[in-house]
Amino acid sequence: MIKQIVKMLWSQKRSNGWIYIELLIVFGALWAILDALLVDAKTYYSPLGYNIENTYQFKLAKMNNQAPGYVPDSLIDLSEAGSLLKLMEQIRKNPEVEEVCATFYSCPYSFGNSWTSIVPTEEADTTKANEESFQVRRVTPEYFKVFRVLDKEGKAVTPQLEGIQNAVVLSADLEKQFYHNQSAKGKKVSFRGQIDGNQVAAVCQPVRPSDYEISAPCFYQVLTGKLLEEYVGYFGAQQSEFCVRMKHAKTEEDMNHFLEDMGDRLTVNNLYVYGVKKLSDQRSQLLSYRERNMKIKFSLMAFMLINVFFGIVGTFWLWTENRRSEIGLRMAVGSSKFKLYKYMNLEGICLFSLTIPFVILFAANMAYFDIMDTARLPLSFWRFLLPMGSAWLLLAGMITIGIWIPARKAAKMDPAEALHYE
Amino acid sequence: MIKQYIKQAIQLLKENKLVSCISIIGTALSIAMVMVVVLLFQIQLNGYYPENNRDRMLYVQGTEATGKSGNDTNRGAMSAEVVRECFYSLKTPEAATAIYSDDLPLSLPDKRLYKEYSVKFTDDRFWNIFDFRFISGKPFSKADFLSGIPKAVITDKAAREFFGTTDVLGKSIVINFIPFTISGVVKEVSKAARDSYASVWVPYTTNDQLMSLQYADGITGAFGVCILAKRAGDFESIRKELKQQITRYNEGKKLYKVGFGENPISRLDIAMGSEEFKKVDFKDFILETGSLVLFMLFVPALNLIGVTQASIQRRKSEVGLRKAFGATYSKLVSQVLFENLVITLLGGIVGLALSFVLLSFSKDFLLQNNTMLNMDMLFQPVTFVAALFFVLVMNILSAGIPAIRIARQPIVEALKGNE
Repeated sequence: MIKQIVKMLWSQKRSNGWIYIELLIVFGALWAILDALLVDAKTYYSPLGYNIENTYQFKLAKMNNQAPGYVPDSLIDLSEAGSLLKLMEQIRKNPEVEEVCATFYSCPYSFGNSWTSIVPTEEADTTKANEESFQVRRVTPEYFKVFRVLDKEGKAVTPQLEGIQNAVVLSADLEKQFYHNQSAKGKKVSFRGQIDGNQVAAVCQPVRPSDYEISAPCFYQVLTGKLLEEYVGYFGAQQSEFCVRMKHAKTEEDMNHFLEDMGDRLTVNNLYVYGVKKLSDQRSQLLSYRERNMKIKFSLMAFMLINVFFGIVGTFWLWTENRRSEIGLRMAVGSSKFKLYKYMNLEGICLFSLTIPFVILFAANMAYFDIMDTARLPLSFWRFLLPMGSAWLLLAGMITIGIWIPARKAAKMDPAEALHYE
Repeated sequence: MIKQYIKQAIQLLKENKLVSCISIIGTALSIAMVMVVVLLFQIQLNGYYPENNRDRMLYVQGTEATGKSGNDTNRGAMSAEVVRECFYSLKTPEAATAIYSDDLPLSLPDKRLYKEYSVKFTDDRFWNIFDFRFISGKPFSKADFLSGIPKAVITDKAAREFFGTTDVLGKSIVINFIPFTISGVVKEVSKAARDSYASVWVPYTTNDQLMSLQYADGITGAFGVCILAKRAGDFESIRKELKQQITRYNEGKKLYKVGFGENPISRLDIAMGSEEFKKVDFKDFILETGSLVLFMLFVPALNLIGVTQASIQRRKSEVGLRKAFGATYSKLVSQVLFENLVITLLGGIVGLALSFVLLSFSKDFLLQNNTMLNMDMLFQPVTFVAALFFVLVMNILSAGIPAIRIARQPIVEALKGNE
């Protein structure tokens, strides 16, 4: 049966050729788009290493010296870090607030991007210490509670930091890179030129910079005491990212009311909160480029599928017109309406399936020249089968729907009249 | 003759309604997709309220401070000092303005609020460069700017939201604890006009933190610059004068020197996707966008070729007869193309209308959120020229090969009429 269909298709290559080329191009393009979507989706749905639900960044500023309420330097009794800590404390006291932390260019979805080199202290003075840089996030101890960062065993990180001066927290992949299968907890790591080292207080789960990236080895530097004074002095308290986790979800309006109700408690000396943004809004802003890209891909997919639908309807409509005699003959010798439809559909699917070898060739080429995204998802049998299979199913579905319209027309034909064309 | 072709084409359309419908919808869809690309480019390129003079504008979006010894660089925007020394003193252009945008809460004098609005900190030249429609009042003056008087211009929309009326001249709004007197109310601006869009405009001299914000020897800071040339042809001489200014400025610097990469860039560069330090070449743009457009034309064209081919093949004997009576090759080709043009034109009209619908549905992801689209952004002569152009391309793509094929057929075979 299939052999006969292929023979028929070959004999009509002139009229089938164009739709064949279209199916080939669309199949190839659909596969490429679906492959990219698969990689995105696989990355998107793996754990991030932190949670930003119900978290907000309060925007800080320093009062202008012309502003009413400005406190001259001579009257300020707190250091800048002191003012920041006091502001944190005042906000933490509100019953609607769960926890507050401050970070420097380090909060999730910020544009912060500090990299620095560290090595295990025992290797610091040996020659094998190669100076590799890792992303560092500079955070106060409450950070791990605000963003629900857990250690490898799933326990909270913040309590483990207590009593440790200049603590650092490594991500699990950095621990693996430094100590292979040994535990890093309690060991020491050194910054460039530092001899005594900082104690690793905990090892947290791998951290992904954003939803569309895979995790990279990185670490947290915990800011307390002198270290905090140093950083606040260097960057300025108003430059810190002041992050707050609320106990319950709030709308933008709720949040504005919350701030209005806080009143004077949002000001410490000249440092004050002037606004708020939801971290999930910041996230969508940062990822909007990706989302836009994805929506464009979906539009292109829809466009191609509609075109295939039209192409199939058109081609098979003309097919029924040109082959009226054949249809008549088939009906005369007992072909039922359903059988006729099945035959036409099989012919369409066969025509389409003939594109498979070329698309596989195209995919193999893409893989060979390393055009596919292998960094986020390595090549595998499934990586090929899943997008290719879905593309095939989508197109086959479109063809099946498309053929139904001309098939209905063909089936309506009166056998006697159809045979008349013979 | 043409009348005859049109009659014939319409007859053909009626004869096979389903196939005609598919051809028209297919063409319409393809033209609509292509026109969305064209419209997006047009929104970026052409001028509309209040950026009416985009063809005469140059933009500085990136500033770079490079160490005089060593090679450390600091990239960002420019400080107030660089604005003053390098741009305010330019003589070739009509004017240059410095702009810093931020989202800040606006408050009333007696009540602190936290809802954020887009605020632009700028200078008095801003109002000469962009054509704002003032509903009442006037912009802050040069004197206001120089002495840092807290005056503000506000949109009618923001005025209504805040005070319930647009009659707000002389009233106060508070930004960062400082009360600003409203000196003018302007008509709301679309977000697509990125350089002029805001809810409130104030002189940047009122913000001492902004004025003193500087890194790398006082070079990098917060501001971007827009320059309005007297004529579009002046771009090169402006760039030349700017170069002299930069050299002069850098002579006075000890540690760092200022540079702007490929800036200032023109509106065309921005429409092609350039921003900050990344400049997109014309070649790269054509390669990328052109291949997308071609793809969107080519896939439906393959459909149409199949359909056109089949319907022409059925008229083989007619063509044979015409040939036998002396119709030339070019005449036959142009007849097929012309008949097909009726379909593509119909598709083009539907497609153009569809593209406006598609754009307004998908503007949230294609443009920025809540971008307002207005008529003078979309309905420009070039829109229709572009649509007609793509209709013709589509016509040649979809009917060219079948036309040539049928016209080439030997008379005897054509007369026989078999496939």
